[in-house]
Amino acid sequence: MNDVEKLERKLDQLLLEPSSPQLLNQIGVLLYQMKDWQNAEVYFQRAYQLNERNEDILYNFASVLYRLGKWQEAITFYQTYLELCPNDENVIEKVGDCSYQVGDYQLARKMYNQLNKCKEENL
Amino acid sequence: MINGRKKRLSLCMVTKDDEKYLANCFSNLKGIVDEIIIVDIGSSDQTVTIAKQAGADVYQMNWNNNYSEARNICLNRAKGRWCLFLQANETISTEQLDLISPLLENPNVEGYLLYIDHRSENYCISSPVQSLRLLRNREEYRFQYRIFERIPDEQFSNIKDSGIRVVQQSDSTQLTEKYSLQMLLHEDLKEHPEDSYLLYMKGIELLNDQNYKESVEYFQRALNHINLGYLFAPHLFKCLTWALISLQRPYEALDVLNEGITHFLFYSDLLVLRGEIRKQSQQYGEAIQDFVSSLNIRAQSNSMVPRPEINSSVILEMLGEVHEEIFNYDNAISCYWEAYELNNTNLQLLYKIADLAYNLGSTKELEELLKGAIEKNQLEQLMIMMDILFQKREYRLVLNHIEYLEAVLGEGEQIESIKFSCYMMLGRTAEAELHFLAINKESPLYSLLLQQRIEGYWFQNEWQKAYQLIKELDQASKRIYHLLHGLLSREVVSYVRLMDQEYEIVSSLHENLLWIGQAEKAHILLPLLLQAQKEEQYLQLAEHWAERNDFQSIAMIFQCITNKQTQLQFKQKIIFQLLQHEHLITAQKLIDLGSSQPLGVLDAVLWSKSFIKKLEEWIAKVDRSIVKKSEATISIQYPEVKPSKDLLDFYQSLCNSNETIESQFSELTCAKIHEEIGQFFEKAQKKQEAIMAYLRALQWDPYNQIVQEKIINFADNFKDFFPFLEEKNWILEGNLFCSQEAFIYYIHGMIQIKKQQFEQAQAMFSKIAKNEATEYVAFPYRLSSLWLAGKETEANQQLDNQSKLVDIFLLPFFRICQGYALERLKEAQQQFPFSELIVAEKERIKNFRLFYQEL
Repeated sequence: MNDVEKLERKLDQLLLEPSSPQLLNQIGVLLYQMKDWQNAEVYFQRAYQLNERNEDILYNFASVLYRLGKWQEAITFYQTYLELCPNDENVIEKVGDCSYQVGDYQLARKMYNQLNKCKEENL
Repeated sequence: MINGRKKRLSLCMVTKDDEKYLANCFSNLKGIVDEIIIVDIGSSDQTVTIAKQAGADVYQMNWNNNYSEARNICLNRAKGRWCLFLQANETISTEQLDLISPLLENPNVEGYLLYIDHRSENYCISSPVQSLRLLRNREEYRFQYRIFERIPDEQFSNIKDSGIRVVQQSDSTQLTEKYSLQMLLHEDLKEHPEDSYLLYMKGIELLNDQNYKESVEYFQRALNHINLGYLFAPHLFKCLTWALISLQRPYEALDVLNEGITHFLFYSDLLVLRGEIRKQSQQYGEAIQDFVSSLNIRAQSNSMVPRPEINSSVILEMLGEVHEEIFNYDNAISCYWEAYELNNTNLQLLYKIADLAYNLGSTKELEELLKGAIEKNQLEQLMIMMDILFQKREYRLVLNHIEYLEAVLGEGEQIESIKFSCYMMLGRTAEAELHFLAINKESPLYSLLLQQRIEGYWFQNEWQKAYQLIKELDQASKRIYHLLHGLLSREVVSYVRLMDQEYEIVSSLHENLLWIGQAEKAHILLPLLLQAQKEEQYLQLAEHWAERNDFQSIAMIFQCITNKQTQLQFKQKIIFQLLQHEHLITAQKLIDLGSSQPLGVLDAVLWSKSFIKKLEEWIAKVDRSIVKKSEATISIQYPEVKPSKDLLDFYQSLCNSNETIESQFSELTCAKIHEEIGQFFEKAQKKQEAIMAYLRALQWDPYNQIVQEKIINFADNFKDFFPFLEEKNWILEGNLFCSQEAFIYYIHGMIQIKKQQFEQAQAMFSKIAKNEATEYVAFPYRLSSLWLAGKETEANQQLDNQSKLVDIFLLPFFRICQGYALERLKEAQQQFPFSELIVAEKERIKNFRLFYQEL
């Protein structure tokens, strides 16, 4: 089954379960994989509105915002994600990179220091 | 078995009338072999008696025109675990004999190749199969064929190279036997017409007879039937190539080589031959690659058999020649040096090094060689070096070291004549005369020195004294000296056609006159030399005039060249020389002579040098005319702005460095720090992040060429680059760009300039809204897009209309044009990737500073 077929199947499912954050998240992921960032953002946002503390949704939503160059917004969602998973090195690094992009070098430094510390601890 | 112990090594030899060699051969191998087996095939001299006296087991056989049969008898009779096959006229050097014993202890080897050094005058190609001289004595190893005996590869494996060379004395009987050998080969081929080995051996025979066409046929047939595992297979590829090269069929040779190289990469001779063909086809980059690869292969210790025959010293010399062709003189000198160090009997290399060193205006190498020769007491090298120094007119150096030469040659007329010549050329006539007195009138040197004295008087316009000396000359020299005297003293004489010896005299005088700075007199001689129509000498003639930047004389010589290829070579060599001395106008004029011919690397370098010169002159002219203009200044932030502490801290954490910022990062500017952050992201394969960092670097320093390169690279290879640029919500730093729009116009325009789309660039920079800060970027770009498009008048007009103090724009303008020149050179470098001239020119441009940058 290709991505389009998968997407069609998920959209059919969504008609039956319009308030399922998981389903919305899955559709967002498929759209992200198809590089349809704008629509992916819409689905992740809806998923987030239905479940603000789901780490997968938070991560995906932040990632699509990052991809769209909406770095400030991406920082907010990545940081919420980090409240749930504080040691996720990948996301710490992402926040650092986003901060650099928006010119917040202080936060960027803080995140990279945190990343370095995590790496040292994991050695 | 003797005393219950099996013998280790049997010397096996097939003899016929070898009495003159045997004693020497046996004494050479005494103590090395445990027994000697001789199979005599019908000697009529004392061979058998001598062999018996030496303790050999001698077997006499009825000769059936079959060498394999004789060799196999040796094998049948030998009791050693190993057999060494030598001919009576072969010996092994004492040092190398010691190498044999350890070879016999290697349990993994069945046979060793010993290479044969032929002492005969006519070098001939021989097969590596004939080098299999040391082998285990096993029943299954038996030779085949009447001649060029061979144990089939199917029965024989694990052959190694012994590193031992056998010296073969020339044998006067060889020639007389050649016919019968050919007959035997013919017989074998009749029996086995498709046998690849016999076809290959027949090819070698024909190749040695320089019958290339027929040899190619046999080699090709051999190739059709060959098993690539055969010992001789790589050599067959080489022989076929050689024959094709001799027939001037390079493309076919290349095909054969390409196939051979895919099968036998470690047989580096094939790479060397391909390199040579590529060099001949002027594919210099590819030739360099082949030679370098073959050197690398040779440097690796590999146990490839057969061992390649072309040694590293020869390959280095060939590599040096390619570098020389493309004016990579530094590299060429290094190659010749290395080649000489590996083989210091090749004294020709010293002359090559000297020539190139002089071309580069450096005598360091020569002084080192001279010093080395003196320190190591290498007389031959010392003599050569003194000869070179004398030829190169280093008269003071010659005089300073003459004592060492005196120690070799002894006191006498030769040394006196050298001293005389040096003093004469240095203008120290009185000292020269003293040494002249030491020369006997009967000496052959006397006449030569007399000629130099005459020339000395000519140099000083002492016509009467010169005239008196001419009377003393022998008849043979008088004609030319009278003629020269007449010409130089401006008497009316007519030019004559010179004989060879006379040409030498005039040519040498012509050089001497130029060396002492009397170009006017040298110019008088030029038509006389040209009249001799020695085209091969024209280049040398012109080189002296190129040193003096005398276009008129160079052109006069050039006009006499009729052959187009010679014209091209002439242009290349002379233009190179002119470029060395920055004589750009003369170089350009020379290019325009004759038909238009591409000069490769030199075109690019001449363009670049002329471009930078023109640019510098234009800026200097503008700068002089605007100094007194408006006193208004632009208050912009220059690229040297230092970064904030937060940015530095971030960068430090990115580097994960515990060092204090002050010690490591204190010199960083905002532009530099973003550039380095970009590199960090690029290494981490974060493309978007890297682009943003580089863009930020350009916001601080819009003329940074390294970062510009990075952005152009992204623009070329990232199809969404411009949408990415326009979509992102990125921030602007610095105060050079008032809006994202302005910055995007700048990025477009900067890329267009690099791609030589000057009009589009001009339009793009005109779109940038004018204000104090953006003008710092936009104005120099508008100016350069006009100037680079050749619209200098319009560029001047732009400057006149500029109300600000325009010298602030000149440095950015220069940097833009400098970047453009570097871009053009980069393109040339892709075409000529190994050119040291282009690398040097790029370095020169990168380090080029305008006069006021140096203040």
